[in-house]
Amino acid sequence: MNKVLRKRLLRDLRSNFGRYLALFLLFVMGLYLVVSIVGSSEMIIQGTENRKAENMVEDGQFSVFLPLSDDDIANLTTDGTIIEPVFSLDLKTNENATLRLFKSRERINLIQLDEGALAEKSNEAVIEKGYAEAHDLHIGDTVTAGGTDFRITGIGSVPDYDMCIAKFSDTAVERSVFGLLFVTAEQYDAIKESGTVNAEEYTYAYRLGNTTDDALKEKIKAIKIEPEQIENKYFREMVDETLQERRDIEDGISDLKDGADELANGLEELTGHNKDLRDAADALFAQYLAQANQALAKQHIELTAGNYADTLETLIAATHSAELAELKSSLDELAEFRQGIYDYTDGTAGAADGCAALADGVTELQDNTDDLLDEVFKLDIENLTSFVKAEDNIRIAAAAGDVIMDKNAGLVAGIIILALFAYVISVFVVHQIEQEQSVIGALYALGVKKKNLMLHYITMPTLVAFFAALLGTALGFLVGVKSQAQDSYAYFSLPVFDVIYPPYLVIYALILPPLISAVVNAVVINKKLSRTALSLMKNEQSAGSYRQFSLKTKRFPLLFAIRQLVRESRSAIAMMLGMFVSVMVVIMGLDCYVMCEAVQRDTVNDTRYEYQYLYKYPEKTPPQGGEAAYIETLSTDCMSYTLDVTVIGIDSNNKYFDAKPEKGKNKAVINSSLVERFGYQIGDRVIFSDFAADTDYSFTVTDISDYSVGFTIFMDIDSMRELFGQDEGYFNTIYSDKALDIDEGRLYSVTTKEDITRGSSVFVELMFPLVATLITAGTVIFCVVMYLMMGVMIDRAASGISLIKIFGYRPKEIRALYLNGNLLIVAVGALLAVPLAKTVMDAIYPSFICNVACSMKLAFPWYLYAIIFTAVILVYFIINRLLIGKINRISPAEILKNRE
Amino acid sequence: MYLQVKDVKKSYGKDTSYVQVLKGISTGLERGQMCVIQGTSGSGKSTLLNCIGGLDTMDSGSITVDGKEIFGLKPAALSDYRRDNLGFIFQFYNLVPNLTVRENIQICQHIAEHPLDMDELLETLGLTEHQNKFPAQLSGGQQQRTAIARALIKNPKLLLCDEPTGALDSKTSRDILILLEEINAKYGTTMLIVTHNNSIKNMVHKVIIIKDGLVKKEYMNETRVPAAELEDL
Repeated sequence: MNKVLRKRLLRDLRSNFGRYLALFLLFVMGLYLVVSIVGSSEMIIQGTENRKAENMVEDGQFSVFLPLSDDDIANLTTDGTIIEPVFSLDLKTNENATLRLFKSRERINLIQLDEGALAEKSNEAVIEKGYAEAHDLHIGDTVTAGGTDFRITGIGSVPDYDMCIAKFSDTAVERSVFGLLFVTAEQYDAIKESGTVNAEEYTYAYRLGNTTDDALKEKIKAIKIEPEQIENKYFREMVDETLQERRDIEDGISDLKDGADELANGLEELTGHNKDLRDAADALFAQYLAQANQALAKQHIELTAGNYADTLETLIAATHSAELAELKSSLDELAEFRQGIYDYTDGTAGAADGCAALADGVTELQDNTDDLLDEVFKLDIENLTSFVKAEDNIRIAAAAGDVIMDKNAGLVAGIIILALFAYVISVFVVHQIEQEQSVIGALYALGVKKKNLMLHYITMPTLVAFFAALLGTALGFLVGVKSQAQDSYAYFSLPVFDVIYPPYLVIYALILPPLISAVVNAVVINKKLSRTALSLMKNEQSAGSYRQFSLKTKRFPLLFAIRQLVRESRSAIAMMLGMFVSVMVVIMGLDCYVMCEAVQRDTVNDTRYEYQYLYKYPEKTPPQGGEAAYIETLSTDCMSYTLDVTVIGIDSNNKYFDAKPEKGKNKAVINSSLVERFGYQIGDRVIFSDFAADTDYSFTVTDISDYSVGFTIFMDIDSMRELFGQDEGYFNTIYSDKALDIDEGRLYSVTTKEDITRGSSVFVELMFPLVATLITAGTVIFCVVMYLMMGVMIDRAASGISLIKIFGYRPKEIRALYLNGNLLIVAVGALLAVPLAKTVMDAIYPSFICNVACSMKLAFPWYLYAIIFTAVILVYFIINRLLIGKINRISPAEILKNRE
Repeated sequence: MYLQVKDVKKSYGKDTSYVQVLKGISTGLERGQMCVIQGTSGSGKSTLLNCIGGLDTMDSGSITVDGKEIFGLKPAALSDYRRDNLGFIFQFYNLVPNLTVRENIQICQHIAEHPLDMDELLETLGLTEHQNKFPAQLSGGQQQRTAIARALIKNPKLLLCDEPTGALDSKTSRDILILLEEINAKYGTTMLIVTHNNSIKNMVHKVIIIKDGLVKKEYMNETRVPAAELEDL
């Protein structure tokens, strides 16, 4: 009997070949996609992990004002930590691109060559592969940068520039405008000493020994430098300005002290004659008094300093003598003179004392001021300018971080697709069993056991699922993984990784499909085969086989269509699920496109300036024609990723931004990107961090700006200066609508609107293949599932169609009864599935871009919904058209052979 | 003659599997007559019925119904022929399982130009109280009566019945036959009944016996036995 069943198996395959083929291809496509996406993600994640050891990837890097001394390095490496300089010079090419020049690495972040060899002689260089590809450069070609010609000896990549961007704040890789060059140490030094390039970046990479990042950071922070050691003229200028201010204060105090001393000395000298003056005044008065007594001796009157005034008054009153009156007047004048001398000498003595005290005070002031100036004009400078751990470095392992979400999304999508496929298969099996009820009943009656029948009916779908899984998995690993990885290779600077075969993915792809198929079918078939042989042979329909409900409509076609839909609810559900899943896949692609397109459009629109100058050594006053701003970079967490938040301090009348920040150190206007990603609202308190300084900053959201570039918050510039401890008038950024004459040596970077426009278009270009793949895959899944399910509905209705053909129904009327009802399902399904899929996808979409700080505008224009809906209906009509032939092929005599 | 069958031949298969089922059958039927076709299994009676019903094509010969030739008609024209002229009753009823009794009858009412009154028909066939039931909730006799109602609703000129009592017990078979008899009397419907049952031939006007693809014998019953009095059903 089992032999008979095996023969039936082949017969079943032949008679349902088209259906099984469609299912097979559906499985193959689904598993190909899953294996491609997950496999390529695993290849990049695992490849990046392996690269850590092979290429000695840094644990972190730090930058300093001045190169570390040998003693400094020795001190930092006592615990086994390895430190290697990765100094760089940015060289301009003839195409106005930038090539960052490094010495060939020896211990950390080693170059992995795709082809060629390391530079060994002058004017030889290894070039970063992305730049080489963008400029079609090959081994032996010459690239000119910074006025020097380099012959390319190798093409490769380094792990610390996995995402090859010039600045940490850059949001997109632009392979054509930024790349890396690695030359010999001698060549590097020669270029540096030629004086044709500006600031050299003193950056060191480290691999930790028996210590931690934080401990190492503290040790580096302890390294101080003297201002005089700094050679950079703009830094020197900044230091000199500061020192001049101190010197001015010191000189002023010194002058004050000198004056005080001089005054004290003069007064001291002056008071030295006081006694002589007093004595002379006393002698003069005494002499004149003696002369008066001599003249008045006859009257026996003796005048003294104390009585002369009264005595002479009395005599003058008695004698009316003019001589006595003149004598008294002269004595009064002399007494007054003598008193004046007394007062003067007393004054000078007091002034001398005061000046001496002043001189002492000024001396004390000078002493104290030195301490104060040491404190205020602190020039005991930390050498450390930045410290970035590898895990916070967006250039490192960027590709691996980028594909983690692809992997998760692929696995989840795979489960959903497999569940859908299993459901579709179960519909087929149920249909097949219902068609063969009488045969099954007969086989039961002939002694075939239920388990044999179960095995029989499970075998074919399980085999189809298994072989499809085998082919899909094989194609996925052999073709899809490398193909899928092209997106990463095209964006990130990666070596060509070997395809890996993660056991879980192999099991997932090979075992899960047949297993799900077997289990789902076993459950469904078991229920169907639980009836008695007689019941099956008689093809009995139980009273509960169909949902019994009354319909009030008088329109028979509508009534029939509703009954038919209810009868075919299983197929209808499968079709709806298929529609939902495929629409979700399509919407994922469209979300991706819409978002990238919005990023491109809004970035260009919101960038109102033509030039942005970011200062390394700011000037005192903004250049003519420039709008000053103050920029700091903080960070925020997004699903365990650390993303930059740019804080821009602006004046209220800044013409390049719409934001109107209020005054206040903790008040900020946030941009729409932050709102879209984190749902912040006005009045919320938001916290961003400066990880380098271990400081959190809390802000109250006062307004929301439509500015969509990156994650940005706006502050009043004065309040921001106060918050970050900068001087009044400080700025580090200039926005302008025309090129300004600013010495390049002062600048970190110059960003033009053209750069931004070009950079923003990178997203769209990069994502387009993925968008196309998702839309194609979704459409194919939808078409195949709809075709299969509508086909099953027609197969199951074959007897009914045959019957009404006997009654004389015309083709149009048959279609109205059996096909047009599906239009209702598809139309209603699309009306529900499209917004639902959009809502679900929008809810999970942030997790796909959690490692990118950008706006997330996912709103579809109305016509996109109309296009999706129209496409669904169009696909329905195309499939409907294809199935008309199937209906036409059903013979009226069919009913005479089979019956329901 | 309402139904005229002339030298109808029909074969299936090719080469070694070639079988000629009808080898040149000729017969006829007047309007309003009830006729039984009898024969052993494989004699060709059902094939003849299918050819008359336009469900199967014939190799040669002629079939005219009410003067209209159906040989050579295209599928669309055959469909219209069935729509305008025929009613079908099958051995296994062939009701649509997810439609109620009333809705099953509506299938044919929907395409009929001058359908009979539904409620009157339901009453006639004793289905009024069952009209909202589904086939699975009905007995075999009720299902067959529903099938008859479905066939009659469009008031066909010719009713083709393929073993109408083949799946029914004796009592129910009698009920159905009585019903057919009443319908014939009431509506004047011409009926062609294919059956194995030897008793049914006694209630009809004409009997055609087929053997090996040929009409072996055909005759008119001089006296008809009412269905209610038929024996050995």
